[in-house]
Amino acid sequence: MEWIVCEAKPRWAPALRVACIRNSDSTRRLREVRGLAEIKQQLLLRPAALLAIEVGHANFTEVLNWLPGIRDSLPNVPTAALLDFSWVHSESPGEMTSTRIWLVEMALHEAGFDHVSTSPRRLREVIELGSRWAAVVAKQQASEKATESSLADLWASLPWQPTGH
Amino acid sequence: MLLEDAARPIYVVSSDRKIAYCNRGLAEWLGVDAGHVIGRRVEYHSEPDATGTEPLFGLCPPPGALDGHETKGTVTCVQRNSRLVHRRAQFIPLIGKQVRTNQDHSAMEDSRHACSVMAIVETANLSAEELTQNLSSESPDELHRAIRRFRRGQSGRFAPETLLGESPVMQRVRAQVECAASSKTNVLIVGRCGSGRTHLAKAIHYASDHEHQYPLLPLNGTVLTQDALRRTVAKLQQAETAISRETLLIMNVDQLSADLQTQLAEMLADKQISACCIGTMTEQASGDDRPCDGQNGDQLDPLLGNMLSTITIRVPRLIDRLEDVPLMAQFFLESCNQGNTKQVGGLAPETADLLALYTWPGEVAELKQVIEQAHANCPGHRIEPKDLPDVIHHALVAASLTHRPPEPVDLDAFLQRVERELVERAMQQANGNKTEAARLLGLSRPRLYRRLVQLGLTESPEHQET
Repeated sequence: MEWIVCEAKPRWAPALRVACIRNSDSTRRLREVRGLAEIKQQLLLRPAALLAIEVGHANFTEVLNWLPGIRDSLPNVPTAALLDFSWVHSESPGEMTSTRIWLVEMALHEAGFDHVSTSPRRLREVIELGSRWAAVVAKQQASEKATESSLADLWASLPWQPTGH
Repeated sequence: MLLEDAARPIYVVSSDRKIAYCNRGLAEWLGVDAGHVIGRRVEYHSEPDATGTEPLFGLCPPPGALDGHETKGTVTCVQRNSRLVHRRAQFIPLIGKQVRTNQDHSAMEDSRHACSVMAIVETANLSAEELTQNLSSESPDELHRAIRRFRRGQSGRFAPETLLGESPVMQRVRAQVECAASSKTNVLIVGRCGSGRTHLAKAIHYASDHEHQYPLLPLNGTVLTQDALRRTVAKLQQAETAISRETLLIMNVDQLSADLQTQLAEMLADKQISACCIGTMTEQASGDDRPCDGQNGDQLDPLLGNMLSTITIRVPRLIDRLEDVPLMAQFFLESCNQGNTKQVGGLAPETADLLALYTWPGEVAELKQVIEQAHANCPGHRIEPKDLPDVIHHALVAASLTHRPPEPVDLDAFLQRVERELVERAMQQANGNKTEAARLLGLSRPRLYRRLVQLGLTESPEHQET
């Protein structure tokens, strides 16, 4: 299982690595990309990967318009938005931060993000999303294998499997 | 009286964003009667549609003002002569700021409480230069504009016209979508994977929200956890003070765990979720064992089914409306042409015939994929049969072949193979010790011995004696 992490500078990826290790999930591999253009290519090679994209002032509109297109071709790929909190916080002197975060989160969900994280310290939900997706993929693969050969499956289910053949 | 006679346009917006009061100055500025304005809802501060005649479009105070902060901003109106006019305004909250903090104690999770706001508008219109300066210094406006533009784009992508097809079944679906959009009730959309259930759900949301103001909150049942559901409901409850026309879209609702389904049904029953709910679920075709969305054969909780299915829309299978295939193929082809240097005009008649013979197990999503591949393969201006992917040709060849009768199975021989394999493995496991092997297999030693002889795995005693 792999994460594709898209961010301008490596900020979230190290935090995500640490979170994976803390949650005893060291099997995850992280692939870092620096722009949205690279993601589609990576997703075509790894359709079961998970997607995490940093969203800030510079790319908010771009991400909003880009993600629905990806959702069309890969509707089930779990995606998490990694929100640049300083952007939401700093540019609204007259407006409550909670209101802006709420608006931004709603728009990002509407574009197709499954989860919006507001801090590299709060990645537990992102990790959970990854675990749930891993379970779904495993179940799907098992189901595909079963249909490939039911006889082989029966044989494999017998006890005292021969070893060293 | 002072307010009424003031030269500056003044109005009061209530917490639910309706005009509660306006003076003569505002009515004159808008070019309408005061009675026409009072009680009307103002929408989020953003640029109005230049072609629209809605004069109250740009009168909504910035969210900060509704949250209790005195702010300055810009208001906009379309005057009777269709001219777009912008003015500076000051927004004064009429009720003190109310802040409720929830259990998370985080400043960013303060709940949203709106209050009434009085707006005092300047008498001079802003010039184009002043407007640019004013807008660039107002970041909140920039954010709201970006979100509004996005919603307007989504609304176009999922407009009712994009539900293609003139077949009777599709006409019925469109009528149901219109009905669901106007009634804002809960809807359950049932269809096969790839049939466009999510598109239909979004079409209902955006058709019901003509001003593209209200959020759509999609949740994917395949990866949804209890925590995520709880957080989502909290977010929806945050919104309820000001607006309550959001849509909660639960995709693959039948893929939710039994616990989550029960929890969701209880939330809907207890009115913890006041948003309109749209659920999508998979219709399993008989004899179809294709995996779908990662999980298969999951059931919908009857209570949740009842809560969601005020209107049930069944998305027809593509094979049941093959007359719609050419129109949809053309639509997808034009989508491929968009922004592409390669322009393909249409389908050759033979290609359309082939598409009509195919069974489309992957539904509309498969048709879209086939057309995208054909567009990529096509060297000319028209898609010929050779440009179609191999899967179409192979399926049609396979369909033309006569069906072979299913091969009979010799059950005794098959079971004997399984028995032989198990006995051999047990003997191997017991290192040839028959007593131990008999124990592993749950047999008596003499019975195992007879089996070994019958299966030819050991010689009979007579043989051994000779």
